[in-house]
Amino acid sequence: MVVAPLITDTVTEPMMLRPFEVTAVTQETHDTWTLDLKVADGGDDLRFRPGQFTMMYVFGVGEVPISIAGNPSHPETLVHTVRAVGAVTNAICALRPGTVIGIRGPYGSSWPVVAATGRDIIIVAGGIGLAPVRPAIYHVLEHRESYGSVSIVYGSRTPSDLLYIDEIHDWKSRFDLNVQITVDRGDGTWMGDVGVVTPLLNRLSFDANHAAAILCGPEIMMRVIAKELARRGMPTADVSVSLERNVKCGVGFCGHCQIGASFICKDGPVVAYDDVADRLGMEEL
Amino acid sequence: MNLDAWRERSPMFEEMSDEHFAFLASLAEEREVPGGATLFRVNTPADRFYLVLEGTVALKIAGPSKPPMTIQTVGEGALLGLSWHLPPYRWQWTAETREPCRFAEFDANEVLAACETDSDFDNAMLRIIAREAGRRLHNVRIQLLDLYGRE
Repeated sequence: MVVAPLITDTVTEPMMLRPFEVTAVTQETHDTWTLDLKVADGGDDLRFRPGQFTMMYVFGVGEVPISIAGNPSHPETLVHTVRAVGAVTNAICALRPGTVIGIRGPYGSSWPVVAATGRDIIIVAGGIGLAPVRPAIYHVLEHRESYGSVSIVYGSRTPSDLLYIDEIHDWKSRFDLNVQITVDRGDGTWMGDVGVVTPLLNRLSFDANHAAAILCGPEIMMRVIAKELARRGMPTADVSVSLERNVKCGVGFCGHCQIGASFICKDGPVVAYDDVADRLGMEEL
Repeated sequence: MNLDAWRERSPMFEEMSDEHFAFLASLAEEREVPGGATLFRVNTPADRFYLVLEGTVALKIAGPSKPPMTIQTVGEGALLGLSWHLPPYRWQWTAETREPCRFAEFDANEVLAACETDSDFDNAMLRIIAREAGRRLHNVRIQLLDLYGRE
C-alpha cells in the first residue's frame, strides 16, 4: 500500500491568531496536561503533519510553541500535551473546557513518515518528547502494513511521569509493535526496566540499511541514540531528530530560535541528524 | 557454546579477537532461569558472571528498613557481573530475574585461571570489564542529570 502525501494547511497569515476552544483537559502526570481543542471561528480544521507545532496564546499571559500531539487524520481535534514549567505553560495547564485561546500555525518541518514507507521504523522518545512523536506513531499504526518492523522506545523519569499510559498499554499489547519502556528511577511497584534508553536498542530487530529513526527528547539522549544506531550500521542520514529552542515568532523573522545557520521554527523542529550533529555537541549553542 | 549471533547484537565484545571470543564461548554453559529467581545476593562471593541472551534481570539494593529497590535492569546483550574480576570479589548488588531468562554462564575461577596462563586473554578481558564499567558510569551520569525532568 502506498501512503498518500499528508495534507496540511498553508498558513497564509502566519501572525494571525485563530480562536480555539478547549473541549477537554486530561491530567497525564503531576505536571503535565493534555488539551483537546476545536476551532472556534467556524473555519476549517487545523490540518498538520506529524512533528509540526503551533504557537499557543493564552490571552493576557503570553505565547509558547507547543508540538501537536494528536492524530493527523483527525484534524477536527487539535491536541496538545503541555508540561507546566513557566508562566504561560502553567496558565495553559490551568485551562478548563469552554475557555478560548489563540492558536497560530501549524509551523515547521515534519517527521519523514511518508518518505519512510516500506522501511523499518525506530521511534525513541524521552520524557515529554513522546508528545511530538505521537502523531507519527498514529500515522505509522494507521498504515501499519506499509512499514516493516516498528519499534517504540520510551524513557521517563519515574513510572508516574509516563505519558499516555493507557495508549502505552494498548501499544504493548500489539504483536506488530515492539515497545520498550524504561525509567530513571523505579518505585516499589514498577516491574519494568530501570536505566537509560540506550541498552534497550539491543532488543530491537531492524534492517539498518532499510530503516528510519525518529528521535525526540533531551539532546544528549538523541546524540547517544544516533551514535548507537550508527554503530548498528544505520546511516545517520536516516535519523531524524526534533530540536527545541526559544521559538518566538514561529516564522523565521526574529532569530530567537537560531541554532548555527538554521532557525528551528522554519528549518525545524524536525531535522536530519546529519545536518545538526556537529552543532548538538557544541557548548552554549 | 556458540555466541556469535549474540556478539553481533552487542557492542561488548567487538574489540575482542575472534580467537579469544571463541575460547571464552567454549567456557560458557547455557542456563535457563525462571522469572523471580535470585541469581546472586549482595556481599556473597562473586564466583561467576553471565551474558544475558534473553530476558531481563533487576539489580537491587536494600536500604535500612526499606524493601529492596531496583537501581538498574539489564537485558539482552548485557554482561552481568563485574565483581568476579575485582577485589573484594563479592557482589555489590542482588540480581533477580524479572522474567524467564536465558544466560551464558561462566565459572569465574575457570576464566581467571585462563587469564593467569594467557596474558593476552587476560588483557582482553580487562579491557572489556573496563569498557563496561565506563559505559555504566556514563549511563549513571546521564541518569544523574535528570534530563527528562529539566527539559
